[in-house]
Amino acid sequence: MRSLHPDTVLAVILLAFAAVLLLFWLPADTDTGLYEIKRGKYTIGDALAPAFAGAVMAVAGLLLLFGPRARDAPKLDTNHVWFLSAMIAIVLAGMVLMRWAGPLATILFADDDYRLLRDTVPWKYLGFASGGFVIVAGASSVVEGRFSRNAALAGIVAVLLIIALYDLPFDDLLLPPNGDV
Amino acid sequence: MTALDYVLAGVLAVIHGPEAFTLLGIPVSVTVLMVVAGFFAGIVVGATPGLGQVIALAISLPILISIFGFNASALLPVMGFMIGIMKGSTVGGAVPAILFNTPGTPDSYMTTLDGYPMTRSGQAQKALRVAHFSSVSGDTFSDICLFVFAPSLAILVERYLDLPEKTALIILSLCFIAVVVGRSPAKGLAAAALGLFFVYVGTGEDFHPRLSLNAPALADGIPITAAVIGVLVVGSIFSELEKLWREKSTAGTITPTSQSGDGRLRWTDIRRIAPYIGRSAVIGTAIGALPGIGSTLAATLGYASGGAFHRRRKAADEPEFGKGAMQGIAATEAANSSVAGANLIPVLSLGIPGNTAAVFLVLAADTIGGFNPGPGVFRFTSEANPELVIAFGLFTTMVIANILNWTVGGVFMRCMGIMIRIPKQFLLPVVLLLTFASLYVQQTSMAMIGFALFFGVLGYFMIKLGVSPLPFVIAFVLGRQFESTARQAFSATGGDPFFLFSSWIAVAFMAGAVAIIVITVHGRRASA
Amino acid sequence: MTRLLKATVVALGLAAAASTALAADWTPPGPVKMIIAFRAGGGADTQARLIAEELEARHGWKIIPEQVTGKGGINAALALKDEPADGTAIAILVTETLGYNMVAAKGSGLSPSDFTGLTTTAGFQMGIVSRADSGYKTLADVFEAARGGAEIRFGVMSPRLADLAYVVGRENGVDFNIISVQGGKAVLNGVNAGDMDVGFMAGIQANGVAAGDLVNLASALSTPLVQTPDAPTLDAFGVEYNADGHFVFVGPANMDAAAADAISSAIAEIVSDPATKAGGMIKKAFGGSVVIAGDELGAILAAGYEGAGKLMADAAN
Repeated sequence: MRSLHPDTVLAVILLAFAAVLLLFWLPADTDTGLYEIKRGKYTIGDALAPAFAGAVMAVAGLLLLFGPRARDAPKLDTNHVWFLSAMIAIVLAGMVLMRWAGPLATILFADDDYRLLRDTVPWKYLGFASGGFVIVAGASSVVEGRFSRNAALAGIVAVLLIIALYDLPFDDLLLPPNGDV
Repeated sequence: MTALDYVLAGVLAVIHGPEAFTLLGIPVSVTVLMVVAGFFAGIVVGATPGLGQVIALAISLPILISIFGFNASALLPVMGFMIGIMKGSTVGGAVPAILFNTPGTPDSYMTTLDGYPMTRSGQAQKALRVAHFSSVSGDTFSDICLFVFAPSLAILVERYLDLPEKTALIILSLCFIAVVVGRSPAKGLAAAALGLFFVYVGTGEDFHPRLSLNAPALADGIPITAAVIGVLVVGSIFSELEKLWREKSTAGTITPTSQSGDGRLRWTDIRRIAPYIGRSAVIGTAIGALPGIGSTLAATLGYASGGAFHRRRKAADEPEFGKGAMQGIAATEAANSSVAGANLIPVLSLGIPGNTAAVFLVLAADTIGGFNPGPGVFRFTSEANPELVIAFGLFTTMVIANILNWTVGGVFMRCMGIMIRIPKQFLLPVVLLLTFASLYVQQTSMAMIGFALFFGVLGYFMIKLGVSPLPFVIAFVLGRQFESTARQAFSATGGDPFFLFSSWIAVAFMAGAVAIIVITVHGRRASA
Repeated sequence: MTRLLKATVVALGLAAAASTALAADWTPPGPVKMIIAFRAGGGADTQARLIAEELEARHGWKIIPEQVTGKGGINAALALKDEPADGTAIAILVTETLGYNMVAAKGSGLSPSDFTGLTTTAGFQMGIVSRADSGYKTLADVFEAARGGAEIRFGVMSPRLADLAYVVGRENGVDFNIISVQGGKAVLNGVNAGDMDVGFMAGIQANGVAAGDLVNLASALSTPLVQTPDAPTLDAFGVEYNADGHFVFVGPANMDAAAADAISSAIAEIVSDPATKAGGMIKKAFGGSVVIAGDELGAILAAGYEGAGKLMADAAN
C-alpha cells in the first residue's frame, strides 16, 4: 500500500478539527452566537471570532488537500514520535514532583500543612528542586542515552541557579508550586 | 520657552538629576545610573532564552516603583531603567538565536534562520557582530526619526486610521504573514488559523469563557507568553535535543561547535550588509509608527524584503537566505530594533502602545503620575510644560543607551557567547527549566508549565512538518486585538455589517489582503 | 428584604461582631495569599501590592500577592471561594464584581453570601469624559449634538456601564453607539485617539483633566466628583442609576471572626494614612481613601447585588 502524502494527512486533520469546532464545540460552548441584539443594536457575539478561525482552518485544509504536492515534503517518523514522547514523559514526571513532593514530605515529616509552610526553608524548595532536577537531568540523559554525572550536575546547577535568580532577591516571586497551594 | 530650551532642559533633567555618587569628581545622576543598569540587565535578559523584555519589565516595574515612589522625580530613573532594558534585550535577543537556534524573543526568530547556520559553520562570533551592528544601526536610525517626527507623525496617523481602518490593517498584516512567510501558503494559513483558534479559547466578552470546556485554567484564556514561548522556545529546544540525540545514536558522540576565523566584522562586510540594514530600518520605523502592530511583524517584513533583494543581488559564492547569510541577520535585527524607537511615537503623542514592552512605559507613567502620555505632551508652550521636558529627558536616556550600545554593548553581548562552550545537551535542558520557572513566576500556576509543554509539542510538530511557527505566533499576538477592534468598529458604526469597506483606506487594505493571497497562491502553484 | 439579602448581611456582618481583643492578638497561621483581580502594573494592582508591603512591614505577616484576572473579577472570586477561611486567603476586587457581575454571570453560581466583606479602600471617581478639543462642556452639549444628527461613540469598560450608558442615552432621546472595551485604560486610549467621543473613566482621567486635555462632562456617581465638583450628576439628566463603586477586600464565607477583624482593621489603618506609600498613592490616584467595613459594607454589597437586576432589566427594553 502506498503511504499517504504528509500534506494529505495534515489536510484531513485540519478539516476534521474545523468541522468539529464549527458544528459541535462552538455551538455548545459559547453563550452568544455569531451576532446578537444588545441594548437595541446589533453587536458581534462571542462565537464569531472562533468561527472565523475555524473557517480559515477549513480553507487552509482545502488548499492543502488540492494544492500542489512537493516531493520532498518533511514528514514525521517513528524516531520523532519516540523522542517527543520521552520528553513529554520527563516533563510530566517533573511537574508531578514539583506539585506534590512538598505536600507529601510535610504529611510524612512535618506537623503543619504544606500550605502554611510554603514560605519556609527547606519545604518551599522541595518540589521545585526535585521536579527541576528530574527535568534537566532526565532530558540530558535521554539525549546521551545514559545517566551521567554531568547530567546530574546540570540538574543541580540549574535548580540552584534559578533559586538564586528568582527566589533569593525577590520576596514576592514564587517558584513552582508555591502559588498553587 | 523655545524648542531648544526644552531640549536643553530635558538633557539637564537627566544629567543633573539627583546624584547617585561621584566618579572622578563628576557627579553621576541616578537616572544615568539606572539607564546603565537597565541596559546591562537587558542584555542578560535578552540573551537568556525564556526570559524577555516583557517579563523583565513586568517584574521590575513594581520593584522600581517601590524604590522610587510616586512623585514626578521618579519618572526619569524608572523609565530610564525600562528604556535600558528594552535596548539591551533587543541586542541580547540575538545571542541565543544565533548560538542555540532558540530565539530569546519572538522578534529574533528570523535571526535563527541564518544566525544558527553561521554558528554551525564556525562563524558564531561574526554572526554576533553582524547582529549587534545591524541592531544598533536600526535602533539609532529609529530614535532619530522619533526625535524628529514624534510631535507630528502620530497625530497624522491617528487622524486617518479610525476603528474600521485599524481592523482592516490587522487583516492585511495577518494575510501577509500567513501566506508570504514559509514555503507553503496553505501551511502558513493553517498555522495562523490555529493561532487565532487558541487565542480565542476562554476569552471573549461574555461571562461564560467560550470554548473552555469549563476548565478553570482556561477561564481567562491562554496566556500569550505561555503560548508564544511554548511554540518558539520549548518547541525549538525539543527539536534541537532531538537532533543531538540522533547524532549521538548514529555517530556515537556529539561534536561540539567550533569556532573558525577571527570573527571580525570588516569594512567589506559592512558595505555588504549596509543596504539590508537601510531597508529594514526604514521598514521597522514605519511599522513602529503605526499603533499596535509591533516588532515581530517588522522583523518578518524586513527579512522578507531583504530576501527578495538578496536573490537578485547576491554573488555566486554567497550563501542564500536561510543558509547562513549574514545579510539575513542584518535584515532581521535592523528591522526589529528599529521598531523600538518609532514605537514610542504613538506612545508619547497618543498614549497608545505599539507593543507589549511599550505598555509598561505607559503603565509606569500612569502609576507614578506627573507625565500623561497623550496629545498634551508635545505642546511647545512659552510657560514651561513639564511633560515636554520629561519627553526630552526620555529622548536623552535613549541617546545614553545608544551610546552604551555602540561602545560596550557589543563586547558584553559577545561575552554572553561563552555559553557556547557548555555542551548543548546540558545547556538546553537548563534553559528549558529556566523557561518553565520564568513562566511560573509571572502567573503562579502549574497550568503555565502545562501550557508551555502543550505548545512546545505543537511547535515541535510544526518544525518537523515544515510549518513556520511565525504565522501562529503573530495570529496569537494580534488575535485578541483583531477581535476587539472589529467588535468596536462594528459597534462604533452603529452595527454596519460592511464597516470594513466604509472608507477608501479600509477598502485599499482589504484589497491588498486579497491580492496578497491570490498572487502568492497562484505564484507558488505556477512554480510548483 | 429577601431571605438571601438577610443571609448576606448576616454573613458579611460577622466580621464586625468579633471582639477587638481577639483581633489584636491574631497572627496568620502561615503566608497569606492576596488574590488581585486586576492586571499587573496598573493603579489598582499597585495599590494592592503597596498595601501588602505595608502589612508585612507593620505586622510581620507574610503576604503573597497573586494575579487572577478576567471576567470582571469573577475568575478571582471563583479562585477565592474555596480557599480556607482562616485568614490565609483574601482578595481585592471591585464592588461591581459582587453586584452586577455576579448576577450577570449566572453560570458561575456565585453570590455575595459566598464571601466575607473586610473593608473598602477607595472609591471610583467615575466621570463621563471627553477630549477638551471636542468642544463639549457638559453632558447636555453631547445630547444636543446627538439630537442634531451627530453619531456619538460612547466607550465603556464593563457590561454594567454599557447598560448605564444606554439608559442615559434613552432617557434623553439619544441613541449612543456603545463601544465595550477591556479596562479603563482602553477607554482613555480610545478617547485620546479619537476612536470614541465620550467614555466612562474611573479616576484615570485625573491627570488629563488637570492638564486641560480632558473634560469631566458629568459625574457618574451619586455625588459630585472631587476634582470637578461643578460637573452635574446623572440625576440631573433624569437617570436614577449611578456608577458608584469601590475597591473592596473580601475573604471566603464564614471567615474566622478574629482574622477578619484583624485584617480589615489593619488594611483600613494603612489606607487611611496618607503618610504610607499605599495611602499616598490612593490619595493621588483615587482621590483619597474610603473605608467602609462591617455591617455597613455588608449592606452595600447586598444592595449592589439586589439592585443589579433592576438596571439589567431596564436596559433590556
